[in-house]
Parts: sequence; C-alpha cells; structure tokens
Amino acid sequence: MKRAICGAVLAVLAAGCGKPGDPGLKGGDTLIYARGADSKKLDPQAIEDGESVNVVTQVFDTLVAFEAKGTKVEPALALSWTASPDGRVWEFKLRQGVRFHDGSPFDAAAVVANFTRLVQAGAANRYGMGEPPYGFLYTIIEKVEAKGADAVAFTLTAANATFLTNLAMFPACISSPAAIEKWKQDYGQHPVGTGPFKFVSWEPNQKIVLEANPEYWGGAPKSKRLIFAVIADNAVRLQRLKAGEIHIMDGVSPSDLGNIRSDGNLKLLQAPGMNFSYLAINNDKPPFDRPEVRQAIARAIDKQELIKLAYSGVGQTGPNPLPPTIWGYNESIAEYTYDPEGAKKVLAEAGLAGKEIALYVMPNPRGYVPDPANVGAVLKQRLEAAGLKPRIMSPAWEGGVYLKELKEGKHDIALIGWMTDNGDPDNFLFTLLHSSGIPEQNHARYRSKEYDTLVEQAQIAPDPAKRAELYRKAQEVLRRDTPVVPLAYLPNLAATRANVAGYELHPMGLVRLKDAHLGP
Amino acid sequence: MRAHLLRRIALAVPTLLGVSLLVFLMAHAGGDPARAIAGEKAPREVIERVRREYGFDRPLLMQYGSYLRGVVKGDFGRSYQTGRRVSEDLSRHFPATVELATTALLIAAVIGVLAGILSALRPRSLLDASVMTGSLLGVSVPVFFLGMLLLVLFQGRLPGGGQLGFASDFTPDRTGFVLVDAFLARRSDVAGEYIAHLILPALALATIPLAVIARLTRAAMLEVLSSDFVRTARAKGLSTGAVVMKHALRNALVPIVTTVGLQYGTLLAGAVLTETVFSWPGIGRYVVESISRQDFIAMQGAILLIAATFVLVNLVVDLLYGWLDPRISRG
Repeated sequence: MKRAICGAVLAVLAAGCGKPGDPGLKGGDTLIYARGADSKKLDPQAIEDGESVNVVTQVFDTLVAFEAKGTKVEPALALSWTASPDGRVWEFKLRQGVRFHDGSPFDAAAVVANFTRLVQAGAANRYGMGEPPYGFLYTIIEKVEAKGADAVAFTLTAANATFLTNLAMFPACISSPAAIEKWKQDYGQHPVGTGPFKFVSWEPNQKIVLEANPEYWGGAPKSKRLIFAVIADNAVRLQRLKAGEIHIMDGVSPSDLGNIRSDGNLKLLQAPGMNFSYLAINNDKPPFDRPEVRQAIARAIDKQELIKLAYSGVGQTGPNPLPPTIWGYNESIAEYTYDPEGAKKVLAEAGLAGKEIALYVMPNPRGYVPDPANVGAVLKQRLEAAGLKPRIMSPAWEGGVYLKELKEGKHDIALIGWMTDNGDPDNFLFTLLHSSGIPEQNHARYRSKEYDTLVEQAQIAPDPAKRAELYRKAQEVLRRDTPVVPLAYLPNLAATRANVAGYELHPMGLVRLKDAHLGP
Repeated sequence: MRAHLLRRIALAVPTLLGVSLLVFLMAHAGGDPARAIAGEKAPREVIERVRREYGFDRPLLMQYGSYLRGVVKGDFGRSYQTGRRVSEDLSRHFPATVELATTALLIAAVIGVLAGILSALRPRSLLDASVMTGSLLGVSVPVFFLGMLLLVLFQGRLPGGGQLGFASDFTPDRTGFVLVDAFLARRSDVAGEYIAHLILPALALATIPLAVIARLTRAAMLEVLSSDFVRTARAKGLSTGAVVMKHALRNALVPIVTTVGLQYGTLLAGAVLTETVFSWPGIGRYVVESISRQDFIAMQGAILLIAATFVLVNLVVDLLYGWLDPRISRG
C-alpha cells in the first residue's frame, strides 16, 4: 500500500510533459481582484450582496449608467430618453448593433423580457428565481412595451424621481433572454450580458474567471482576463497582495492603513464613500420622545474622539443622516457641539440620571462600522459621563436577530448604519426616517407629518433643483427634532499593487474594472 | 465476519438518521431563513411570500420528511443562496477536504508511529521526553493559532493558502481530486504547485492527530514490549529489529489502527478551522460559509456528508480491526 502511494506521488512528479499556464496569455494579461467572500449568484435580478454585484457589474450593462465619479446617470444601452409631462411615461431610444456574449441581439424585445421578469410576480421566465430581492424598487413600473426594435416605453403607476437612477442599478441589468431560456434555474451560474467582460468559469469559494469582450460597445477592456478570487481573511488577503499573488484587494481594515502606505510595492486607494453609521434613538420611549433629550445625547458624544478611537482616524463626522457625497446634503446645518456638562443637566432633568438604558451594538463589523465593539465602548464611557447607565446589548447579526429586536423596539439607543443603493438622497431620507418605514428601516421610530410631506414631495418632484431644496429643508427639520445622531461617514478603501493602472474607486462603491490593468 | 459487517452497517443507519434530524432541528432553531433569502432590505410582504414559496410555514416535521425523501434519492436540494444543487457543491468541495485530511493523516501516522516506537524503545530518555513534550504541545495548541503562526512564518517564502495559484488554468474536472486529475492530465507543474499549497494546511491539521498517535503508539509498544512473548522472542536471540517490527508492532497495531482511523474522522471535522485559516476550498469552509449565509439546506447537506464519512471510516476501522485481530469478529 505504502509503496503504491509513493509510486503514485513519484509518477505525478515525474509526469514531466505538462505545459505550464495558458498558451494564449502573457503574465500581465490577467488581473486578479481578491475579496473576502464568494458571489452567491450572477443573475443580476436574483442578488443583493455586494460580492455578486461586483462581478455582475463587469458582465452586464444597464440602460443608463452612473457617471464615472458620481451619481448622475448617463447613457449606456439607452442612447437617450424622454419623460411625459406628468412623469408617468418614459421612452428610451436603444443603442443599435449591440450583441449579447452568446451572439443574440440586444433589442427592445430583450429589454421587455428583462423587466417583465423583474416586476411581474410569477413571470414565466423567472424559472425558480423566486422574488427578486430588489424587485420592490421597480414595482412602480406598470408596464413596459417595445416601440419598434430600438425603443421601449415604461409606464409608471405614479411619477417617481428615483425611477431613472434605479434603472442604473444592478437589478436593472439586461440579460440575454436566450441565455435565460437556455439555462433556466441555472442561469445564476451562467450569466450572459453585453458588458465589457464575458463569464468563463466559476469554482465556488475559489474564483470566478472572466475574459475580455473585444466587441464591447464602450471599447475593449484593458485586461484580457479578469479573476475574482476569494480570500476570506483580511490579514491573509493583504499578505498575498504583498506577495504579488493578487493585484487588487477590497475589504482593507482601517488598522492596516499604515502597513499599506509604508509598502512601496502597494498603492492605497481612498475615496469618500456613500455610507454612514448613526445612533437610532427610540423616539417611542419616554423621555426619548422629547427632542431636547435626544439632542442631549448628541451633545454627550465627542465625535472627534470617536473617529480617532473607534474608526482608526478615517472618516468624517457631520450632523446630517446622509453622507456629504450625496447631492442635497445641507452644508449649512451646524454640527452638535460636544457639551458633556450641558447634556448631563438635561438628561438629569429628564429623570435619566443613573438610569439603565439599552444600548444596542452589533457584534460583528459592517461596511459602515468596521469596529463596532470599540464604538460601543467609547459611547458607553461618554454616556456614563453624562450620567446614564448604558447596558450594551449585542444580539447576533446573522439570522437577523439584531434587526428583529430593533424592529420590536427593544432598544433605547441602537448603533446602526446604511449604505447607498442608488446614490439618491431619497434612499437615505425617505427610507430611514419616513414614518411608513416603522418598524422596518425607521429604527428611530420617528414620526413627523412635516418631515413626511417634505420627503414625499421630493420623491415626485421632477426638477432636481427643487428636489435638492426640499431635501435641504427636510434636514433642517431633522436637526431640530434629532431623531437620530449621525456618527461617521466612512471612505471607500482598497489596496492595489503599485503597477495597477486604470482603476479608481467610485463613491457608490461600484467596482468597474474595464480599464484596470497591470502596468510595467 | 459477514454478520459482524451487516450488524455494523445496520447500526450506521439510525446513527445517520439521528444526525440528520439533529442538524435539521438545529438549523431551524435559530434565525429566519426567509429573511436570509429575501435579504436585509426586503419589505415584510416579500419575506412572507418567500416563507410561503419555500414552505417554511409548514410544520417542521413535514419539512424534515420532504428533505429526507430527497436525500434518500440523492437530491440534497438547491442552496437557498446560490441556487446551485447542494450535491454538486458537495462533490466540488469534498475532494479538497479528502486530499487535505489524507495528507495530514499520512504525515501524522508516519511521523507519529515512528516517534512513538522510538520513544518506547528508550523510555525516559531525552528523545522520549522531547517527543512527549512535543506531543503535549501538539494536542494543546489550537489549530487556528498554529495555522496563523505558520502563515506568518512562511507566507511569501512558501505559497500558502488557496488551492492553486489563482491564475492557474487547471480545473480538476475528471475526478475532482486535483492530484489525481493532474496526474491523469500529465500536468506535473499543477501537481507540484498543488503539493506546495497543501503542505502548510496539512501540517497545521496534522499536529493534533500526530500527537495523539505518537502518545498512543508509545503506550501500546511499552505494554507489548514488557509482555512475556517479547521476552521469549528476545531470549530466542532475535534481533531488536525483528522483535520490534515482527512481534511487538504487529500486536500493538490494533489500538494504533483504531486511533489512526478515528483520527481520520476527526481530521475531516477539524478541517473546518484549518480550511478557514488557509482559505482552503473544502467542505469545512463550505459549512462555515453556509452557516454565515443562513443557507441551512447547504449546511445540512454538508454536515450529513461529514457524518456519513465519519461513520464509514469507523466502519472500515472496525473491519480492519477484525482482520488484524481475528478474535474480535468471532467474538
């Protein structure tokens, strides 16, 4: 037996005629992007996790796309569009001569098939996809119809200003209808789009391989082959970047920044992000139902100290519950001043001196808060200094226990956050604080008729300037009522080998690798 | 012998049923699969719809029943999160674990038995003391710590973690075992690279069984070496080598084989930590990923597979046992 094993090992080692590597490719043609977890599916309509979105972005196009460095939309598969005066009918003129990676043509019929699949419950071409996780963003689409081969018209149930931006999001990517019919239930493992890269293969938990689409309408990509690799641990991923085994890594821990900056072979990418973490104060629980008590909480916290101690010194603070990178952010609103004594007085008057309160802090990192335990520790200390007795509660995030308890209103104060979906202020101000969001995303349980009206009007106003004005007003109401205390806006971080060119971070966290390549 | 075999196989069935029920209940005890599937931002109506679509609103026992019916037919269902067939996932991830565990076991068995024999031949010598101290350390150091230590020490000097370099174009599509497929495809470069990647995780994984095997071999050999027939053999004038290899070892082998066999099962389970530290794409990481994604159906399938392998390995050990010591199967 032992001899047989030795024989086999020797035979393998001696099998000397193997040809190393792939004959058609040179070393610099392959770009390796490493992340912490694998994609789940590559069917744009069936996903919600960032790791799936990042790959889908390379393989697919949308009708309109977010601009290179911002949240405005520009033409992509659609060349131009018009909206009816009442904002309910949108017509898009499509780019001609585009083909899917399987050779089938991109046309109006393909667009109709995709949106039918997205919005029509029980649509025939869903093939067990189930309910699209982001389908709710598109339920305002009443019908979509082809106007000849190269134009489509969408009819909405009501005018909605976020419709166009939502068309630039990943669920609105256009798949090859022929490929959906071919793969049916397995389409999520065999994505076919019109994007800069074609899907080649997928070894689960290991890597996804894409190859350049030389016919891409936006010009051929700079790398011939693109590999999305999985390396679970942040520290190990950084080690392997240093060793040159991978070229770009996401999920940089803020605590590793110094290490990356000091390595001449590496480059640190940092760009303002579109996320924020905040304290949701339970507005339903007296005495937190009173604005002055909530403001006292805001004034009891030293945000600069918090950024330094619990966010590794990266990030910004501000008074508004949306990041400054989002248009409509109101710059004129003053930050809460750190005033422990004043805060202590107000809280004591409200009967909170020495009173135990439930401070919810999630047990594991989220994109908007890399080190929640430390945030909890700093907050606890500051709230104690203001005379409260915070008890830190950390139910499991996995399995949804944390969010469930927030929905049940068990918290007095909870650490939570949000990352943008579509770069629109509506996605923060309406989603997180409109009263219809109770108990789902409105964890502060904030109810204000005045505020609700403002963000409702902003949602349907067709003029962006008008919308921005309404959002600025809404932020003034929030400053007065202080339902939540914004803590930090975090930048997006990534590290690359120093010779990686053509890759920049997008404020929305979009990963676009069409022009990324290895330089000399 | 045949009755013994049949009895063992018959016993394996209720064991596996028990495991499947336990895993099923544990998976459904915590968390809400419908929310995990629908996503964090999904509205309540969507979550309710998912609950109905997937049948999570049915009584648990009914859900278990239909799961079991599928498993019996070889259908482990489709992952809630990836939509892939769980059986397909398992057949992709399992070979990597088998290769890792087997390599670790080879390392552990060869070094462990040798060290144990040498210790037993010179009890209370410096060699004995260092083997015993080393094995005490081996048993005590947690795998994740040792794995990290190995990575920090050797990362960059040896290729570590990962199944193959990411740029490799080789896919093990014949048997799923990279070494076997590389051999079949006559790709020595792939096999070499693979072995280089295998070394660190296999070493990390081997420490505990190595220590256990060394200690047990030492004890078994000491006992056998002090027995009457060994004294007789020596008195007959046989060389030490012949006494140790032909007489003593053969008799000490029964407990050693048992331990080695049982360790193999432990290795498959212990691979969870090692695979996580080294990003090894095996069944252990698959379990961890499934749990963190609340992908219960994938987790159930994987744990069931690990349990079945464990039972199978034990069965083989039992049979080997009977072969090594005929008294057992007759008894």
